[in-house]
Amino acid sequence: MKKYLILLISAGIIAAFGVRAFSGQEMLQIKGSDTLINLVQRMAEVYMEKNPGKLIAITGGGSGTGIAALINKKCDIANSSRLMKAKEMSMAAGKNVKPKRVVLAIDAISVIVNTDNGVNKFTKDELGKIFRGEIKNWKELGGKDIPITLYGRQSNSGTFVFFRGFILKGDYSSKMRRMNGNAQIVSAIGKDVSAIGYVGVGYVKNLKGGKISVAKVASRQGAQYASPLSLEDVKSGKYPISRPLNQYVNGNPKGIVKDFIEFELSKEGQKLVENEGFFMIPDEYKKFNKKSAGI
Amino acid sequence: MMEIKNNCSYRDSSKDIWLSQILLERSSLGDTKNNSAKKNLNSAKKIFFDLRARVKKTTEYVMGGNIREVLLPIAVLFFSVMNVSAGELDILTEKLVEKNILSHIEAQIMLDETRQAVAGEITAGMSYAVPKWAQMMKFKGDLRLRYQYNNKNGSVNRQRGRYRLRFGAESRINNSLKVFFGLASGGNDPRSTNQTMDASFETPDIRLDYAFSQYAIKPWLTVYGGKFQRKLAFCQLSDFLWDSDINPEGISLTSNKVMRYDFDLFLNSGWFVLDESNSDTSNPSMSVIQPGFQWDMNDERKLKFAVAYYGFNDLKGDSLSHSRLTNSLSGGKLSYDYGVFNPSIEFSFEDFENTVIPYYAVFAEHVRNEKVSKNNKGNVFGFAIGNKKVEKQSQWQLKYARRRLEKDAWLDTFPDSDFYGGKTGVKGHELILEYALVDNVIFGADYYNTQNISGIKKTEDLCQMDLKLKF
Repeated sequence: MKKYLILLISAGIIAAFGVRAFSGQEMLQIKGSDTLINLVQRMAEVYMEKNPGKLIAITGGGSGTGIAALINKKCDIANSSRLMKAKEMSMAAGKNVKPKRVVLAIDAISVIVNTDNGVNKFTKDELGKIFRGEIKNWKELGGKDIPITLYGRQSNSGTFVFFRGFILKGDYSSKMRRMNGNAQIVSAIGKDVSAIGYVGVGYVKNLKGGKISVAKVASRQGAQYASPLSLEDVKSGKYPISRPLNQYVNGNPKGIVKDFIEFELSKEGQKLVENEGFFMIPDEYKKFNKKSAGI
Repeated sequence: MMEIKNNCSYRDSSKDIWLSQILLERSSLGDTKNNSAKKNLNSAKKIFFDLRARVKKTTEYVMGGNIREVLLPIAVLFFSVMNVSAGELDILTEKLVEKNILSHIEAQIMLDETRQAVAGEITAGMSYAVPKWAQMMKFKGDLRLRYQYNNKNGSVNRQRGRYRLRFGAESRINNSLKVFFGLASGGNDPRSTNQTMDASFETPDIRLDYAFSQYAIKPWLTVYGGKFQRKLAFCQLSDFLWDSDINPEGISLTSNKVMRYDFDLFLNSGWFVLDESNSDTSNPSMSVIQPGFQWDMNDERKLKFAVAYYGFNDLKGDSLSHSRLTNSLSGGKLSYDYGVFNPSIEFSFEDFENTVIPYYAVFAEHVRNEKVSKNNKGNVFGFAIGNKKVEKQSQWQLKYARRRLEKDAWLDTFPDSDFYGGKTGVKGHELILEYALVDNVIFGADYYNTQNISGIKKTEDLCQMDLKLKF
């Protein structure tokens, strides 16, 4: 009897494979980057107010989680603060997923320290040495005689991957505390005078009061120190740690996916980018989006 | 795309540039000693000068403001053909920005597109900078060092040092077809790849652990053939019925369909050879059908359910290799047929924000041999807390399972060999702790407290301390 029940269930599943994925209300599923989550949530709120009947669900988990979800067809848009890796591209190809990248905003990864620290200027090289664990005490940089406490992200974070590739050019110190999100890093550094961490600029640009100091960074010894809070410094490249914030979709976007992305890239959407502390995309990226995804 | 006069594609022109440069260098060293080499040199010179003229024309194009369209192919050419490192490309673009040939944003776009283009080439096996075999093959392996302590009623306590080495490769033949093989330490017991430290440093065997092909008929439909990793053939929540070292032999068809974002259906099926004899036409075999689903109730909660039916053929009156002789036997042969119904369920919760316990799960399985009326049932219940996977530094997991497996519920050739020797007619508890000391180096402690169900009660304690290194 149970054997026949299993065969019946199996037959039902085989039949279901031929059925199109069922959908009720028009819905958009977005997953991925913790750096982007607040921004995209705000955009979704405004979009849904303008478009009743359209539903957008957004969750985090990190850029790696979002890209994996796109590859496994568990979401329509993957928020990602880094580029797709070769391994991910290979997996996407194997599952007949054709990722297209759209740039949504510009981020300046901000290095933050506690205001009681005394050291708030670094070169790129110094940051690499600090996060690789080669510089271990603030006194080596002219600060107090206290060991440096490192705060960073988990390995599924695009910010983690970008910072490692762009600044460290090696592995993080094994002593780095791996936090689940940008908000946790900001909170931790506010309480720890020995701490240093890195977050997306959206998490510090509108901070008022508190014990967080946003450090200035120079591309090399002798170069001018620049701030991630200055649009001019970020756009000109004087502030050296900037990156595009991306969304990946499967193929050229259509329907509600295209409609929402067009809203994100519109004047109103880009104003929300500014309000959330990031930088609007310049003309070069508008041309890129047109070429990459037809938007 | 840049094109040269003889209508070569961009890819051909990149090779021609490289070739022509090499030939020109050699010509200056007097390397051309025969007519065909001279002909090659002349045609290379033609291509090179042609390209130089194009570059001159392109410079005028550049001054018109279309720098990115020109420099991107040059960058990809430079990066992939000349085997330039990513650092060198960064320096190049930095110089171009300093000289105001590129804006910072243009440089950023070019670098990103170059990296993605090269990653795409490597993915497609078309990169010139990376050897072909390295693009088509992947390797992995692990080494496990173990201390094991056994304390069994009526037996001498035993302490052993053991190790296990596994090494595997995957090769892509084309976009749909792959071949996998793996080697492992251990003897011919399918339930163990361990090697015990003994016999005066004797050199142990390395055996074929798995060897199979994988063909993706559709993105959601895959067929496997050969001796393949069991996790590919059917969904298993624990080693209740199958020891984790067993790799079945036969053919398997698996399908996995995403019905919507939060709901996947899957159907696993297969036919497996248990034994073969040239003097007997009735060769024991096993067929499996296992439908199931995974429901993502929300981003944190997942429910997985599957029900399997294992049908065995030509078992009664036969005997299987590596049996523990705990199933009912008549004259050393199996007394009964086996047709096993096995539902399993797992509920898991994963919270990325929770830094203390980001994951927990509860699971249960039931087993029932429909061909037998008594001593034919079994079940396992357990939970896990910590991290879902233990791979990165500081990740950990604590897992507990309680199980009972009656004498004829399942064949005694397959269950976890560490649980009361892999026998049936047993019950007990297992507690496992894993902690990642650094990335890919995991400390594990596993404790079994087990006993037989019928007959004179004998208990067994087994303790294993492991250091696993993955590469």
